[in-house]
Amino acid sequence: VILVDVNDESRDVMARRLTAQGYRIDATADPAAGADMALSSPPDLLIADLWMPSISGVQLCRLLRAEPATAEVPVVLRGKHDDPRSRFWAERAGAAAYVVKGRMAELVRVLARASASKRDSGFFMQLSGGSVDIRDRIARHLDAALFDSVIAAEVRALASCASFERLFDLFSQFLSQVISYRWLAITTTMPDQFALHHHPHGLSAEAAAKAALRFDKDLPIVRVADEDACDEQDGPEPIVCDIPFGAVSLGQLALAPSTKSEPDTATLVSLVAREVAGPLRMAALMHELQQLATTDSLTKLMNRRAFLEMMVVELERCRRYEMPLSILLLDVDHFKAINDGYGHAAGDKVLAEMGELLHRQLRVTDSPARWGGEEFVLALKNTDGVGAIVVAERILAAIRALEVELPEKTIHFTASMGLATALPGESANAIIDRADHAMYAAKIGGRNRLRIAERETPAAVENGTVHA
Amino acid sequence: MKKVLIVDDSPVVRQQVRQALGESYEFVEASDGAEGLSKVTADPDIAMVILDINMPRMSGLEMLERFKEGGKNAGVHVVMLTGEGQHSMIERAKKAGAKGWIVKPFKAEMLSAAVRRLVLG
Repeated sequence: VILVDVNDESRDVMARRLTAQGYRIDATADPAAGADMALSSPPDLLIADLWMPSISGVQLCRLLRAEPATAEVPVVLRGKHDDPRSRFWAERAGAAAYVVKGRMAELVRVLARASASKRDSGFFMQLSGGSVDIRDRIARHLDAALFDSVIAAEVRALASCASFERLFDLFSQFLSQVISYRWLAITTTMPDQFALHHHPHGLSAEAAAKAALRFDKDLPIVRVADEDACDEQDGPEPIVCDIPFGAVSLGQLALAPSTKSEPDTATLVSLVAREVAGPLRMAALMHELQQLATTDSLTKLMNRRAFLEMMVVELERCRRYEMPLSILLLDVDHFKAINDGYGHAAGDKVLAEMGELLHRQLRVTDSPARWGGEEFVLALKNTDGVGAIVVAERILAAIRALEVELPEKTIHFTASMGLATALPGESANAIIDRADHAMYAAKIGGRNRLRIAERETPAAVENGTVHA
Repeated sequence: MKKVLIVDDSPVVRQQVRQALGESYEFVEASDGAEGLSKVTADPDIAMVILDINMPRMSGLEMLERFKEGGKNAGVHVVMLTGEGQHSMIERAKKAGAKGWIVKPFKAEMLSAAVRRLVLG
């Protein structure tokens, strides 16, 4: 047993009492000498004070844990007080036990337990002869531990990214500062996603990354191509790590090191893979939440709230660039009859197929939404009244042609539609209101048709001041 | 008398090791890993190898790994004697089955104590 205690008196007392217990004690007042002794002839146990001048017991303990010769030597740290923080810090440093000074019985018990677990290797290190100083080595180990904890904290801080794309972009920006690599890829399940960072010249990166991660799904990938990645075409084999989150795996991370990468790259990659799990989960949840809040689950279109939010932005944009914006509001004809005649499941099917039809018929920018009940609304960007009529008639024709297959029979239906084109300074609600009135006019006019809103407000039309 | 193989490309270091260990051992010498490997495999009386790392032809770590490969030659103790103190190399040597790591320049009495401990058990 090596005993390190700076106080001569207490060291002598301790050494005597432990010798009486049957331990062979090598005592020293100097922590560095104690470390040297431990490395060059690994003991069954080392006892040190938690607080010592020059090298603390915690530092000494971290050194012994980190060095191959003493990785398994149990360390018992002693402190003046039984405070939880000292105990916590001693245990985090890898100490076998934290014992309060003066409690000899507890110390003896701990010693008996620690020395009972026999270790094999007998490997030793003599560092003192050369330029390698114990303090240098401690500094290096502490620095490495600090480096790891800074890396972990920086990766965890990415949890504020609300999307997978943004998270991967920032993650690759960060990681390329720390590791020199040819490409970096992440794949996740639930949802299925694949992201890749490579140099613009790294043309083989995608195939190599997909092979390394065994990714064969036909999905659009998130790609970041910039010169933060290294442009070597060949290099060491890719490192592949699981991304564990609690007991489940979120996916995998693969990184192809460059020839300039450090030898400990694999350790670092597994550290960041562990730490990026939380941010990945967070981004997935945020995305899911966003979807739930803005999407109508039956038709998979935007919901009313999301549509209105988008309208505010779009109106502003159209005004700035002096582009026209038209709104189509449509309502399924005799929907109540479908519901009553074939049941609510049939009604739901009609609405879902309407959602699909609008998706199919429109340009990506045309933003269809479910307005409520059997009403749908579309915003046609950069489209004036004439252009909107073309779109509206096309949609009405497609609805007429649509066949919805119910268990009992195949049904057809029609829709009525109102069109309003934004007037200067008009609010989203006012435009939709005009389109709504036009749609009612279409209903009154016999359904299955389009009506164009008056330029004036519906209120003015109703007051009779303007002839409808 | 126990036989000790000293593998180092520097004749000066080989002589320092001989002096440190004194007259109680018989010595065999080699100046690189390849020569060391062939000598130690050819001579079953060698009980201990003192091994440098940075040498021409074959490094000490490579010689160690080949010599101990698959748990072979467990009875022959190997101690690395080198200017290196790099953590990953020390770990590699320990994993390969070396018994110790001594950083040059070494202290004669420490080396002889370590060797005595190993050879005499």
